[in-house]
Formats: sequence, structure tokens, C-alpha cells
Amino acid sequence: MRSMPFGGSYVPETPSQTAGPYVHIGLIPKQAGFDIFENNFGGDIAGPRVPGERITIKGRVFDGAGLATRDVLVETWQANAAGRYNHSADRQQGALDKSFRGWARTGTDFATGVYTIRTIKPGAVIGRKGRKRMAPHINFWIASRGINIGLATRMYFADEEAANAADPVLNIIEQPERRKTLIAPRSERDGNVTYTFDIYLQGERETVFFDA
Amino acid sequence: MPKASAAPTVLHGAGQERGQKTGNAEGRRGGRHADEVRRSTVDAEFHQRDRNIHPPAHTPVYKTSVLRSPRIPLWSLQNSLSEVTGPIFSPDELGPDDHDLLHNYATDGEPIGEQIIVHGYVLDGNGKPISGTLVEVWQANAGGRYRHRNDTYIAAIDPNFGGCGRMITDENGHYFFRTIKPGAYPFRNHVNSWRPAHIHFSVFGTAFVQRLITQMYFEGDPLIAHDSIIATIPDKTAVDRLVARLDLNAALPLECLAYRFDIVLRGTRQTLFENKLQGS
Repeated sequence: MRSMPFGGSYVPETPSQTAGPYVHIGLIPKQAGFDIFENNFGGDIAGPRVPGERITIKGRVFDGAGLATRDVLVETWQANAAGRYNHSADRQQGALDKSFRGWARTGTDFATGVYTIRTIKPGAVIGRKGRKRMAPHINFWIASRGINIGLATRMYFADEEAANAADPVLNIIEQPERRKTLIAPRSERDGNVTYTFDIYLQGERETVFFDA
Repeated sequence: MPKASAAPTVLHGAGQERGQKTGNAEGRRGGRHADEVRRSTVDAEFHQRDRNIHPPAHTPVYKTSVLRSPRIPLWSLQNSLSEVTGPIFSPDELGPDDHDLLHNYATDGEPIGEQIIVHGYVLDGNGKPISGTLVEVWQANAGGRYRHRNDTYIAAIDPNFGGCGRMITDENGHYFFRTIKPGAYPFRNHVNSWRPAHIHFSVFGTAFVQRLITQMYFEGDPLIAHDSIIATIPDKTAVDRLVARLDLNAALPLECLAYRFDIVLRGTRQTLFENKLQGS
């Protein structure tokens, strides 16, 4: 059956405004220094029974003066270890684990500027064209004081060299040098795997941000 | 641009030459994995974000944006599953008072200030209500002070006011919460910069590309015309849609006034994919 590419009326989106310096109150109140909700969303998102390799992601978000910001909200969205998103639009065949939502929220630390997310490494997700798989990646979205509209980017894994080289999204970035801004190096210590993903808001190492 | 029959119709071009080439190369081979294609490709892509509605990243009128704005253009990315999916929340994750800012932090009485109801609908760009989506709000107290360790404004902390709440839209996309009207407060943009009374909103929708944080203002506030953060929005009709209207019909007689604030997230365009089963 054929349908029109457009349907119905178009209502303009509500404009974005900065999350401001006190974003923590609403979204990560514990970091703002008070306890209000019983159940808090956070950055440690894989329960003990969730299949997949346990990883920690750490990083900082630098402003154009090279300063590590200490008030940025960081959210991530990812597929599970089988490469499947916990969402009805994902009808891939990989196993769905309802206990793993795949979404994390944290902030850069008030003192150190470091954000920390504990999760599992996602699997490769089917690409837009349905044939080529995208290399494993985690979608990032950041908001803060001074950021007028949330910034979207992706983190890829340095140990997935072959998959990264074939990734349809990395490959549309014209300058190969800039692709590297999305690839997080892996380190292991006492059996704990950490990926370091620093985000540069501007400057020579400016991270690739997407308009998706 | 020639299109292979197995490739989905590309409706909003990424604009970058390389992206288009990649798209072609990918679509060139035939229907060998046609079944996989049917099951996996994105059903409904989102309308390209209308960047004229939103503030640009770099807005010198709001000084903090200067060092926190990317200078290289955003890279246009067509939707894949990574964009059209997003976190889903369920009402049982929230506490019964999470949406009641009058009581969710109070210990020995109600917060000081003018009690109000704020309500509205969360819609998508096609005007369709978005039910079951998480709405989070935060705000200053009646004196203009946030319960935040970095806020040192002279107004007192209200012991009975936390300043945040959250709710999930009902089956009609409707949300509401009770709170007190926040006060205006100064901020260090210029020496004498003041924020109009406002409530911060965070909304999800159903896909991560719909993610939105914004601020709601109050009808009639004279500070709206002087605010540097509102001034980042180039389109004045867009600013108008951030101003909640007094809604007397939703007020509680002899108790409190109400304000109406609808939020519109990006909508999808239902595309025709020749290689996809519709309605599957």
C-alpha cells in the first residue's frame, strides 16, 4: 500500500532553552545536594543479570578555553549487548532484555569535572539501510548552562577498529581526523574496563556533534 | 541523485556530498537480505529539526554560550534506529507526590508563595498527543532562590520547598502539577541582568532525537522583554510559545490560579519505503 510522505498538519516545535546552572535540581537532585525522590535515575544502569561486558565510561567536557566544565548534564542511550534497543521501533531479531533500559544520566562532577557511567558494551545495531551494521556505539546528549540546545554525539569503541572503519556514520564525516573525536580509548586495570570519552565543545579538538 | 530500488526513499537529504555517496553505495546491491531490510529499517523518520525555531549555539547576548558553543557546523545525520528509539519510563518508577511541588519536600507546612497549577499537553509535530512520556520540572522558590549548593542569592531557602517535580503524561498527552510561582532573580550576564520568573522543563517523547529541555515563562511578566536567554531565540513567535497563558478555567475557585503550557516535540513523517511492508 502506498501512502503520502506527509500527513496531517505541521505544528512547530517548542524552542529549546538552556538547562541553566541548576539543572541538577530537576534531573540529578542528589548532585545538587538534596534528597527528594525515592527512585533516582542515574549513571549505573546495568543490573547484575544483564548480559554483556561491564564497562565504565569516564570523561570530561571541555569548553572553548580548555576548562573542564563542572555543571554539564550527560545522558546516554544505547542498545543492549545483542545490539537491540529496548524500544518498540526496534524489531531486530537480537534478544531483548526488558530489564536493561539502556539510558543513563549523570553530570560532570562539581569538583573534578569527570562524569562516570557504568553500563555494558552495546552490540552492533543494524544500519539505516537495514543491511550494513553500525559499529557498536553509545548515543550521547549533553545540556548545561551556556548550551542553548542539547548537543548530540556518539561514542565509538577504540577496540572495534574494523567495525569503526566500516561504520556508515563515521564514514560520512568528511575529515578522517574528526572521526577520531568520537572514538574512546580502552584501558584495563584489575579486570575493570574503562573507556575515556572526553567531549570538546569547541577548539582544535572540537567533537563532532550531529543534527539528527 | 539516482536511487536503487532496494534503498529506502531518502526524504530529507543530509546535504553532505559524502553522506549521499555513502547512501548510494549502500543501496546499490539488490534484495539479497530483503527480509532483514523489512524488519530492520526505520519506519518513520523525524522531520528535520527546524533550526530557525531554536536559539543557535553561539549567542553573544548570553555570554556563557560563547565558550560552550561548537563552531563547526553540526553534521547532518539521517535517522537510524539509534535516533528513532529512546528511553521509555513507566508511572510506577515515580513516587505518588513527585508531581506535587507543594508537598513533595514539605516537612512542617506548605511552601511560601502564590500557589499555582501548571498544566498542558505534550504533542508531536503532527499535533498528536504523546502519552506516557516523562516530564520533569525544576524552579526557584518564591524568592527566586534555588535549592542548589551553587546558588548564593540573598533570598532565603524555603525549608518546605524542594523545587523539582516529575510526572508522566496521561493517555491524552496531558500533564499537570501544583507548585508556587517562582520569583525573578539576578544572574551574572550583565551586572544588572534578571531572569523573568520561569520553570525549567525536560521532556523525552518516544525517540532520543526528540529530547528537549526548555523554560516556561509567565504571561505578562515585564522581564520577558529584557531577558538575555530569551533573546537567544531569533523568532519572536517562537518566544511567544514559551509563555504560559493564564487559564482561568483550570483555576481552582477561591484556591489557586492555573497556567497552561503546551509542549510540542518533533514529529515523524510517515515515509513510503518501497521495500517495506506498511503497517507491519
